[in-house]
Amino acid sequence: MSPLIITDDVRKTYHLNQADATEAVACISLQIDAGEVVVLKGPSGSGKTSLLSLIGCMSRPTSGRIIVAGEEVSRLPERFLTLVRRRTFGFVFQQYQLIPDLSVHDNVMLPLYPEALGLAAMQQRVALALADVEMDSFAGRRVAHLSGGQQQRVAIARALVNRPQVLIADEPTAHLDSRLSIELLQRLTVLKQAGLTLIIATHDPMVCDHTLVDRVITLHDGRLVGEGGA
Amino acid sequence: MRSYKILEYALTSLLRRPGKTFAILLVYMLMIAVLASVLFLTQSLKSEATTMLAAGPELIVQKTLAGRHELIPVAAVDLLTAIPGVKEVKPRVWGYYYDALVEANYTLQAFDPTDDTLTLLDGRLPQGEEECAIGSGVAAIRRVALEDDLILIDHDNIGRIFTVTGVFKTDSDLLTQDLIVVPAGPLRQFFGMPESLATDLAVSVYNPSEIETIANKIKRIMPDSRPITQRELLRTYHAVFDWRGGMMLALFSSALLAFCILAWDKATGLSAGERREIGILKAIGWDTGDVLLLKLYEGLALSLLAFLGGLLIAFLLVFFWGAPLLGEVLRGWSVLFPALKPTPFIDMYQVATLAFLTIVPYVASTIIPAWRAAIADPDDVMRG
Repeated sequence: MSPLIITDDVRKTYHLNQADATEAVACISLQIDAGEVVVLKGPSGSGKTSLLSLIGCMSRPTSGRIIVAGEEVSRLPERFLTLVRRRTFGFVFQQYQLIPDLSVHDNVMLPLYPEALGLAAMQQRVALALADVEMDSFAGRRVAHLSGGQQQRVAIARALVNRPQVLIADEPTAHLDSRLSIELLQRLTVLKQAGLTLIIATHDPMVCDHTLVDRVITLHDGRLVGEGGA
Repeated sequence: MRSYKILEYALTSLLRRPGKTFAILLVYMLMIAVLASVLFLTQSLKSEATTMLAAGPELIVQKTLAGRHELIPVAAVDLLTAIPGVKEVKPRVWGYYYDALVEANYTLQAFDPTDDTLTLLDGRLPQGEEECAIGSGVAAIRRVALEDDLILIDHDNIGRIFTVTGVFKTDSDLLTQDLIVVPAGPLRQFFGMPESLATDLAVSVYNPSEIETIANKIKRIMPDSRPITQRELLRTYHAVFDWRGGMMLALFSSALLAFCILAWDKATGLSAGERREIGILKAIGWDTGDVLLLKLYEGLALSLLAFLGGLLIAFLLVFFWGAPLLGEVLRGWSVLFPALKPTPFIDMYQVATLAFLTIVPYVASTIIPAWRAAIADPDDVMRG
């Protein structure tokens, strides 16, 4: 079986050809199989978030190739890249990146807007996604009025509502206490059991050492410096 | 369904930013209201003038001396009646009167029983030598009503008393506001005008298409005359209103300029929150087209609402509230302004032009910065 995601000598430099050019990712090659749980580990500024963005088609590499489900996406036109992003990936951002003035329900529904779905089907998917993260009773509540843990659950529901193959989570435990972190890891375990591929960027040992993790990739200054089982 | 959902999201987006939305709406609406008021008023005054002149004589003949208007001999009536195609020639007696008491100008006109443009609001037309009918503006400024006496100073500086027997009305008051009608005899005495002279001659013709030919013939027969056709008068009125409207539009163009600066300011950048929202939408799967559609709907909803609201305000201001402030500038030089209630008349071409000049720049100023953000990688947009 071919890997779901391949990065081939991928490099990402911000402010290219400028005095303040920063190489965030340097020559990284890796493969991630479908259903695998991979942790990207490393200190702040090691390039974890940049690599997640590249894998999730949120940005393009300066050089190198990224292949998702057999298709090279690094040079795809924007429209098709968006389609790959929408169909393949769900994102849980470090700061959740929810729209604070919208309700929980409307935030979760946003990824479905570009899809050719009827309103009833959309409502049904949103209800299911919210039920999965036990936030269905908060559907009408404005996101700004929720706690950090609740916001993260909404972010997970939004990431899953499009039924992606891969869930990408950036520092998912950064704003959670230990009880909520355990709860999150249990939730991620359920997703793994459901066959979802998980790519998690973190420097939290509780995540790195968890049994759900298949592989830990260590980054430093944008380079891959270590790889092994949890 | 996709478009409908994005439209719904666009409308809720506007409501999520009530302060900003309301501020732009207010500025935009006020600007449209002011500009549209000038256009509506100018157009309706031109329309009023057309209606008013249509009921007047087809051709007026004045005598000139050294290029200025002089009294014309009544004997010229026979001369002009003899021109083929001329139906009737009537000498008209009228003149201006400055009322130092209230610092207003009136138009004094001899009573013509065949003039059907004058409709009485109240009372009857003058019959006796010391009777008059007056416009509602004169009645208001001199505070006189039916059966009251109106004292005017004649050419000999002697006070003449006229009893008010009627007050005029027309649709717009443009014609009768400053009018005082008295019988011809007393008016001649008042102005000191000999029986052999008249202010001008009103000529009617059998075939209106021959009016220019007849005017040329009159000019040949009476070289010191100035025949003025109805069309020329109309052109003059239109030119005057267009000039005044143009002056006002020039003044208010500063409002348009301020609006353009606002639009430019909007076009050159998005707020951090707006950029972040576009980045989020892109990250969760919206493509550039979806984001642009969202911004198009936002811009259109706001600008159309403001435009229609501004037009409605202008319509009410001009046609229901008599165009306060603007009317004084556009109507005339007299202190006795007509109490304008113009018949609603809207030139759709002008409205379309105004829409094009305001809605298009605003929508463009909404879309361009969003497009700039939307074509960038979502990661870059969210990082700022």
